[in-house]
Amino acid sequence: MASINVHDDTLVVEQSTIEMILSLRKTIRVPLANIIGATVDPGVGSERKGIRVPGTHIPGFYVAGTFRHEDSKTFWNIRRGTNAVVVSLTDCDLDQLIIEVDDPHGTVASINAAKATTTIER
Amino acid sequence: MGRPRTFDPEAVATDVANLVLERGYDAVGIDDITRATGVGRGSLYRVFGSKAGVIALALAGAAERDDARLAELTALVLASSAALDPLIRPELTRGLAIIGRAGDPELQLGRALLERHRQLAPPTRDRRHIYPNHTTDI
Repeated sequence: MASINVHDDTLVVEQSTIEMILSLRKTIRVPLANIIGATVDPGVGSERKGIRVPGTHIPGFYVAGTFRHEDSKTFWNIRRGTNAVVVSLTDCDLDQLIIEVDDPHGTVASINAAKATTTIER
Repeated sequence: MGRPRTFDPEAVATDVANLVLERGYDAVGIDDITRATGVGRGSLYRVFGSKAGVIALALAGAAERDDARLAELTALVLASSAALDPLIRPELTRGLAIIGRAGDPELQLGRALLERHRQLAPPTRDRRHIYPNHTTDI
């Protein structure tokens, strides 16, 4: 399963080797300043994924890769999606990250805490 | 095909605030929000960025209107996982300043929560439903 961590001022999505192959992307790094917010969203898996550009989609089992839908570009890496986290981005190649992680509530809290400290420092 | 956005973000935020007032921040999921407002997930994330983004706008709206339930909404969000969210924090600060105008903010937040407790859980003297097998005749 993928994980989302914050190192310094950067959000890092780490994937296993198999996930990297299926999603056709290596580690994703996004500066915290480009993150609008993060939300725990267990129901997001039932949303339309759109067109693969590129990625892997086995409906109901696994979605990994970059998908384009309704003018937005999203990177997905979820299985059933019950532990999915949605991260909205701005001024990036991608508009959204939808990632399934072990601890979605902890992940969202750590992204917010990291963003809060960087906002205060600036 | 992408549908054009035809909703008023402030009206949606107010609807979501009502959901939060009913159930509490953490109990309201994105599925509940899409169901209650009729706005799709894609539009929600595009316009508000996150669930916290919706509530930040709702808090701002309630503060501007000096809404009667501003203290209750502020207290609920303060006690939730969203209290640290960078979009919400400035709105909480602003809301507290407005609540403070009418008197001690601590007192008002506490009062709002107590009033909520009274309305949601009417006092009962009959405790037999809690201990069904523990009845003693005196």
